[in-house]
Amino acid sequence: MEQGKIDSKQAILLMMSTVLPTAILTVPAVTVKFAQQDAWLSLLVALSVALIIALLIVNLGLRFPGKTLFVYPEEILGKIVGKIICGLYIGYFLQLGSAVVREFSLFLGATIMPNTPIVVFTILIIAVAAYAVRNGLEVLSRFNQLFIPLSGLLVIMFLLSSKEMNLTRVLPIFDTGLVPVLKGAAYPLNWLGLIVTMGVMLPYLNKPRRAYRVAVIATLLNGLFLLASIMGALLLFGPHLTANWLYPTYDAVRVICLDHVVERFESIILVMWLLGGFVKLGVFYYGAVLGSAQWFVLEDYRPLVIPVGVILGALSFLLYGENVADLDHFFTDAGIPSSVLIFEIGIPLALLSVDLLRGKGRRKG
Amino acid sequence: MRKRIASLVLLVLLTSLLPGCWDRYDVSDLAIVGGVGVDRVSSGRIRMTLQIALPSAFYGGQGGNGGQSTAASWVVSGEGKTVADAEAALEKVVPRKIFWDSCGILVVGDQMARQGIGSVTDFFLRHGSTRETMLVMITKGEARTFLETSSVLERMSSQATQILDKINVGYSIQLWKFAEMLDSKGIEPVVPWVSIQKAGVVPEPGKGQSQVEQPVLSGMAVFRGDKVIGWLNTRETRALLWLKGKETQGAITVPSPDGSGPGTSVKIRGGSAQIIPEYDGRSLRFQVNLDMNADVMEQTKNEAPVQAGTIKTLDTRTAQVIKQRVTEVLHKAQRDYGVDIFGFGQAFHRSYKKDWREMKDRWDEDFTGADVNIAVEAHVHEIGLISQGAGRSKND
Repeated sequence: MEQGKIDSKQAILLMMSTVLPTAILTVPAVTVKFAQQDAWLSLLVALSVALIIALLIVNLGLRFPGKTLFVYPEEILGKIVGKIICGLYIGYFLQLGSAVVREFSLFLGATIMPNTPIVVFTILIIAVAAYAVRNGLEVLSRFNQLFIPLSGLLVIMFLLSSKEMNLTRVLPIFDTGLVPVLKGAAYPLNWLGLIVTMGVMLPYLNKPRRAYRVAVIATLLNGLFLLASIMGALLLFGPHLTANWLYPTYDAVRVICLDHVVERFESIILVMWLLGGFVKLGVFYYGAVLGSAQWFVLEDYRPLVIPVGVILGALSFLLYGENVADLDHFFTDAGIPSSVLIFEIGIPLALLSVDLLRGKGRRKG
Repeated sequence: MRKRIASLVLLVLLTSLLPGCWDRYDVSDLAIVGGVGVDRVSSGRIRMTLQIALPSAFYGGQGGNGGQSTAASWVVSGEGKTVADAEAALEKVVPRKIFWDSCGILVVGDQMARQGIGSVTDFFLRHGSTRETMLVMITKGEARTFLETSSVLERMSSQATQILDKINVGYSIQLWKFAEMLDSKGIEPVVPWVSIQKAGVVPEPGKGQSQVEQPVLSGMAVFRGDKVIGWLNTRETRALLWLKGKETQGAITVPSPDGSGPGTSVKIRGGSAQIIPEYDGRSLRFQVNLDMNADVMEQTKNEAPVQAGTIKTLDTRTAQVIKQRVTEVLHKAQRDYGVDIFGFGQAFHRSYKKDWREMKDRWDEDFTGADVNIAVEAHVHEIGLISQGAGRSKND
């Protein structure tokens, strides 16, 4: 099935690309919409829950060495229920992948290439990702390792716009109360909780014992980058304007203007996001393909690459309505409870509890 | 064979990339916008005016009679029901693709501004091709007239106003900052007020002189929500900037101790401002502490020379003048306009978040009734290159 192995560093970087590219674009606006200037508190809440998810999924994975999230449910719950759960996860990855496709197509269409039909972006990004997925996890991780240093540019952008930042914009702290902060936490948790993808990667780590460290470091780094993007947007724009932008991080880069000389950096950021979004799509795409192959107990997953790609493209048009507002609606209203509660916490927790009771998996100290 | 066919197909596909981007725009296909104006015309419709750069005026030819002789811009207007509608009308008139990216200023006529400019900011923030960093300004009269004026040193009036912004003579606000102030509670926006003034002459040999008109900053327009409700002149503008803790230029004149003669001119560089709210549930007070820096620009004859001993008194006298000017603008905002343009509400929100919840919707009234105590400290730093003016010692 999958012959490649990735090391801990590659796994951490891959988990970062799994979460960050689209999250940095959309998380600040939605979180701030709920929690106003306390959005960073929301993020800390989400981060602590995500750490628990990370520990949970690694613990579960280590009980079944060499087996992915698509295989061990069968061992724990028996063939029929296991297959159903596996099928659900395949659907989950398909949904995640198609959402990435949709977000990127719409974002590119809205910001830099308004005259190009959306379907062009959709086909192109899926075609490139299909090639990477066909070549396997190792190739995807190596590519990711190549470009991820680019995210250092985000730090430079942050520094460049710091001239306009004002700490008073996040004051007073804890103005909105507890409920909005918790509501705001759901959205970033949706992203940070994607660490469940570790359930797919874990068997292919060259040192599985380091999996805990990988998952925790990756989650902390993700949290840090999201925190920076939320704080950056808040310090620049204040809560009201941040909530009003669709892509606050993009606008934060657009308003960098030092003496009319140092300005217009948005294309650099776009390149970064495009590369990241492509890896992100690759990860989910890979998950869906590998899952399907293991579900059907195939020898090789490669014949499934193109069919799954077509499904991804179709879903990206079918699931999310016609425009950005519909996509937002999908995430804020329909998407969050289902994915966080079911796929990121619910099922892993259920699996672990059943396994603890029945003791099928290898005991770990 | 298969490989050959495959490579042939690839080759054919690759050649399709050779022509480059099929929807490219060359500079010669673009109408480059330098500034845009929005007016409400009498029929209630909206008129958008573009100041489009004429590229020929910008090619070389700096020497001799450059600039003056060739026209640098084409000013064209379109009307419609909404701002977007007006833009669509313009697209029919302008034979090239309208290129917004270099549009540096957005001027709104006061007819439009009095009735609300929310739709204007919405259009330009939503647009995507315009920059959020363009400068917003209000003009009394029509924005079109403002854009129709050329400038002497710069080629277009839109360029001239951007330069005014650069050297900080007044105050400028970028579109995104204006939007932030519009969205926030506890502060009302102020936007530069620009106008066209007669400014000097250009002597032309043999032809006499030609009168020159120049765009200048005249002060600020005061907003309530997205509507202009009043104006501040340049004197009040500067006091407002001190209160906001912004950097400023320009001199004030401090009277001499005995009150005779014009006194000493000092340049206020700006400084820091601190607003401390005090609220006991009924009465609202603000303590404002200003710490300003100043340089000596000019001394008139009957002043004591600037020395270690006399600087202290100059400090106190400068502080007095600043305090008086700041109080003036504060009273104008509280009594004449009844809006909080200083961000007192934001300062209050930071310190009394619970009380703010019920006060934020009637903040204008609370602000109007608030007691404000202003304390100013001024520090004179530079005294220039001389200590005593030429010709003083003889008279003394």
